[in-house]
Amino acid sequence: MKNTLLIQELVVKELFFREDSEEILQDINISLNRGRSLSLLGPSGCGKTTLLRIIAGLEKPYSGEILFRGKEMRGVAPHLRNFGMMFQDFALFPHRNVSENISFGLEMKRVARKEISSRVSEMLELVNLERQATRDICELSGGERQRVALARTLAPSPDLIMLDEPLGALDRRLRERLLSDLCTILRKSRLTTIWVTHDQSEAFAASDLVCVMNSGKVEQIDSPENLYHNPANRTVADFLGFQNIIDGKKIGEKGGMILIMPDAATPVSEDGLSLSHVEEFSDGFSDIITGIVMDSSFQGAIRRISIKTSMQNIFRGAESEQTLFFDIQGHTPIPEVGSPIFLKINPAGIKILNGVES
Amino acid sequence: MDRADIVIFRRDNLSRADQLFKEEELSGGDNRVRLESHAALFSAQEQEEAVPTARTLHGSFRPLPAMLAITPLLFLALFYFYPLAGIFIRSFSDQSASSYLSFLKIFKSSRMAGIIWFTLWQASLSTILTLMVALPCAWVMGTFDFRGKKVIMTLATLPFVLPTIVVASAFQVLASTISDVAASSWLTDIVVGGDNIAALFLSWLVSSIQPEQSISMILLAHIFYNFSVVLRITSAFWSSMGKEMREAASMLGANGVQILFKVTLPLLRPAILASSMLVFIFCFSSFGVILILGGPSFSTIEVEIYRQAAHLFNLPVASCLSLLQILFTFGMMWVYTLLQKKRARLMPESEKISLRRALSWQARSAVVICVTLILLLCVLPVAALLISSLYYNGSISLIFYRELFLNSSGSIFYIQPGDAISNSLTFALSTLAMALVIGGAASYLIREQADRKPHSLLGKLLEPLFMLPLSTSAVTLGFGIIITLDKSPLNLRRSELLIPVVHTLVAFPFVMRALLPALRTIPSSLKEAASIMGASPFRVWLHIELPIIARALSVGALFAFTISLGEFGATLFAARPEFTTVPVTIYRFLGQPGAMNHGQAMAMSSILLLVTAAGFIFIENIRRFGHEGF
Repeated sequence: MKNTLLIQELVVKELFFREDSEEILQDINISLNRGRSLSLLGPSGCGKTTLLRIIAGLEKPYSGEILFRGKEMRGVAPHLRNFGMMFQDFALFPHRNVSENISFGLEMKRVARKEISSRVSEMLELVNLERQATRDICELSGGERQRVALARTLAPSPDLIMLDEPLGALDRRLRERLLSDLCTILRKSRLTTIWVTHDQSEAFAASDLVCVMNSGKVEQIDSPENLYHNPANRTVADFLGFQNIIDGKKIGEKGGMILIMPDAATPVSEDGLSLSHVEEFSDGFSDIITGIVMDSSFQGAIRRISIKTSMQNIFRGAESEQTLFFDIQGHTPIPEVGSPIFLKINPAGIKILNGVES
Repeated sequence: MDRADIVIFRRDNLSRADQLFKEEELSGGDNRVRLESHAALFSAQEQEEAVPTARTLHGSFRPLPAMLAITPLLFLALFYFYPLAGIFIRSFSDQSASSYLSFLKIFKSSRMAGIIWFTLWQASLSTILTLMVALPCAWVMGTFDFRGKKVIMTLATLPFVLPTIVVASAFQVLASTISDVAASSWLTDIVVGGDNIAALFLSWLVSSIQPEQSISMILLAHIFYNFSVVLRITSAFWSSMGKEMREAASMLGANGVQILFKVTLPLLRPAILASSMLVFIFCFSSFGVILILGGPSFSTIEVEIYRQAAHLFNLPVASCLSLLQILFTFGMMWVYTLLQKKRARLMPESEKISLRRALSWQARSAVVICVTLILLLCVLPVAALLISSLYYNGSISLIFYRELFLNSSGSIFYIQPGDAISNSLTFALSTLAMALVIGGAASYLIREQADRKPHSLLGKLLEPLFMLPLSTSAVTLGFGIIITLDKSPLNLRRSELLIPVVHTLVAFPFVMRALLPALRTIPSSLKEAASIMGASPFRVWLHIELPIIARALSVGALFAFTISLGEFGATLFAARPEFTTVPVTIYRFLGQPGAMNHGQAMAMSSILLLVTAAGFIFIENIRRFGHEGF
């Protein structure tokens, strides 16, 4: 984050939410600066949509505070908060056409008619739907609907914009294309944004900060880069799609987890290997992994290999076998499937995860 | 969710919607008109929803020999179009005077103008009153979830499926009870305790309603009958509208009142319009209720057709009125179809049903008031009927029921009530068989057409064609049949088959409506897989199709059976004395003086009520299971 003037826009403090005595959200603490975007990332049912709805005012928290520009929002009805929300299946009004949908929020604000029409055409232009202005909602394609929903949300110039799985209702190909469009438009608008998603790449692409949630708790809040390079615990690492997570013991500690980044390995040839090359980490494992190549698949710039290795290689004393996955630079020669392989691990690619799970 | 899930999910929605509509349509007696409508909706939905399944083996399955295709078409031609043509011919080519003269006579006579005016007027008022009662209840039912809701909903729908004659007798009992109460005025004393303003108000209310033979009982019966139409259509729409629309509006800065007027009501409008149109059509062609509750002073077009034809033997006038009725109903059906299309279009796409529990005291009291209202409205008339059938000379007795099966001499009827019951059962069973054959063949014909030439005009027209009998009122149907099928080339006047034929005409579209959605859920790949594994076409049908459509088939069969048992309007025309059915016998009993006659009418009505109710509840249940099955 740059050293610009940072104004705290939204603060969520010690927020709890219960439904039928079931804890849906526990001790949520988030703060978001003006103009920044935050993603709530987590598996379905983790409470991210509930959190969004609480911020919007559509649900009441059990306890805790939500401050917006320093003002407690608890007693403010949703329609008075001046927040914008884009719903998961867009919730476009079927009895109004495209521009009538977009103008709804402006009408509610009793904006003058002239101003409404100019703002609506501005919005239509922004989302590139000028020609569909008088279309019925049911005549629109999925991508068009998404853009109408976005325009409708942006039209009344909300102070905070929330998007609940904005790409969730679309199919994969459309999703990838619209993701960048959506990000561009949002960046242009410079609004403070909260984005709910279960898709890691969406969260990374769309936001300055990612908040990983799991079963009602915040696991980690950080920038996408930091999150990727230093996942706080196993849940986060799992959710980010890391596969090389190994139970292990760090010397002097009770237990833990070790994560090896998939791009941390480089193959070394057998004859080039002598014992002198093998460094020992202080934590008690060597930087060379030996294993059998189980699978090798070409993926463009990289080649993904899976190897079966005995943990003895990595951890002194551990016995079990494990399959690890590595992304190898495309030009490096790889032994055939079934052959042994020696991999040198870059110490920077090894992360110790904190979560104790044994 | 992967693609297959989505497909199944959508199917489910389709059948849910269909179930809802079909439930509206269940009917006995002359309220049959209600049905057609959905044909239109259904075909509209079809075009959007039924993305055709892979259709690779063009016509390699032909379980449908030409005979089966011809049967339903021939049936329709002989027993629907031929009688209808008869009415046209009668109206326009009269021996005595040229046709337009009788038309002129109708419009010039002030009595006829009064009848047409009354028909429109009572239908409008009934519709408005029904809306006033049903809309608040629809809001409660579409918003809250509470224990016993399903039972209440079934109970609220029950009146809709009761034979018109049962409703009429129930309200006649209710009317006389109310006037008895008013006369004795003990209720006044109990309820409000003596002479005060409330007591005065109550007695004024009772005397101004003038329960017996008055418009208020007709209106009340219409509300009772049609309440569930508005309730079901609107509350379904309300609940599937979900809270998202309202939340979206709220996020855009709309307050509660703005949400109601800018979002909720505009969204509900097509549902409200469509259901009120439906109610209007039913009340417009109401026959039994007005004939029995209205007495000689009230007459709608439908009743007048019967009076002119059966009492005054004035066939030209009856023909003209029938033609008028046909034009009216077809016109209204057309409007309704347009409304339905709009409704289908505005039906929210997210099919999530969102209901919340009533937690606040306001919500709780709304639920309590709604449930009480439904119980009062739906249970009171039925209870009055059942009690009066068991009440003789101040004590409880089964005498009326026993009397039905005793062969008392000097009967005013050609046949005994017991014989009428056995007639009704025989007719109902024959109707069941015939309706299954005709309806089944028609369904297969429609599906075959759709499979082979999905976009041909013929294929699209077939279904509405077979649904046509539903948009024709019972009395016009009966009238058409007696004026055409009583002479050569096709004389069925003395045939035992006439009544089952009439009933089949009414019932077979219901069989189709139950069967078609089930047939459509069978992907052709299923049959293709079976045939590649070596099953002959017949065995494919036996082992693959039949098990899948079995439930739908039984629903259709039960429909046919109960419809035949309760049919009144057309039967009253077509039944010869020796083939009298239960509803006609009840009508004749009601027309006779004396406690014994009245009591027997109540007893027969009660039996019919219980049989129909049992059938309805059974249908509701198998359908609910069947749902998961498909």
